Amino acid sequence: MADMPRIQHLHDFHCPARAEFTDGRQGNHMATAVLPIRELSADVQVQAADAQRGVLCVVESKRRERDALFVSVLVSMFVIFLKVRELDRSFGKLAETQQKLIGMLEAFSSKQLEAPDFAKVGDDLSRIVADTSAVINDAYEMPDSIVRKWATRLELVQEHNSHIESISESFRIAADETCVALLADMAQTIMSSESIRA
Amino acid sequence: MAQCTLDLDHPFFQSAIAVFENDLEFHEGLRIVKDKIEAEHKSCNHVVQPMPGHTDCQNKIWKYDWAPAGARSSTRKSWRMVVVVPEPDARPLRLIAAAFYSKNQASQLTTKQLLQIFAGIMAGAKGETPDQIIERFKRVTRADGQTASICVDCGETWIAETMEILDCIEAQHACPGPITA
Repeated sequence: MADMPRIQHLHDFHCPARAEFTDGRQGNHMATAVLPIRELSADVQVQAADAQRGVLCVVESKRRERDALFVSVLVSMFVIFLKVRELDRSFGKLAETQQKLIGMLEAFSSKQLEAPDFAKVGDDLSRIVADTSAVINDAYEMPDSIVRKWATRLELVQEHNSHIESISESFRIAADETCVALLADMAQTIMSSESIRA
Repeated sequence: MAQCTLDLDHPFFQSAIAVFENDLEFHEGLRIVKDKIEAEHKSCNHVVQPMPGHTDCQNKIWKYDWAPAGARSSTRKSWRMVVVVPEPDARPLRLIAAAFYSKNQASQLTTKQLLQIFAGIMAGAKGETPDQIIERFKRVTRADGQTASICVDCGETWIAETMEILDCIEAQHACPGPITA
């Protein structure tokens, strides 16, 4: 199990966005409008980490199952059964929170944000995309019989993760004056050629 | 009447998808995503690009994603399209596909990679053929009034107040070649 060492990182799990809420010194000069987004981002990150723990627990149980005696195998199978069910619920909960975050990001007016805020929120989103991708990868590496039980919710988590990744990219573009100027130039070139055509 | 129309003919977009000229799977995917977007413009991971400092472009740049059918896992290939919407409040909506790039679904492109993609598309589209790049550097004026020069091959960017400085920098640039995602 090449991915097992990752469990050590989870013990040191850290949410920079959440840390800033509890550390008023940094949070004070950030646009208040951004705080609910960053808090929900942290929730997604925590839930992705919970799901990751669950996946690794199933991986470990499957590994033990191979070396165990008959009675232990039965116990191990039961533990896996419970864990797989619990994980299905975890993926469902994660998908719901992702959906809430997407809804909040879509409803958000970009006029409320300055470039540094775009960078901060973009970084938060990048982190949760990376964490969620790790969970998705590990989950898809499980035997097909287990993956089938999660398939619907896992697909949804993946779809939402891809959407959040696109929003994250938009925020990183918005935080970079040159990149946003280049896109504006592209749009203006197209719009002016359209008006000439009209 | 359709809720919106998606125009795929702009030279920028055609330049960006030129490498897929003979890829039937890609064109089939593009046809499907076009139909989906024209039926519901908020589908396909619709995202509105925030444009701070460029109020004339606010709410006029949107993005969409799609992926080949059947593939799974977070490493599956995914395609992203940037569209320009000259009049976002008009009905029916008119969407003009402007840029396109492919990526792994979960991979996150760096700003430098995005600069290279956008600059490359704009420079490439000005050639006589879609894949002929006649400009090595793309210059843009930023909201702060400074001019940025972007190498269309490697995405390296320089910002200066005068064109003379950029002329010197561009002349001395030893391009390491395209960066990969």
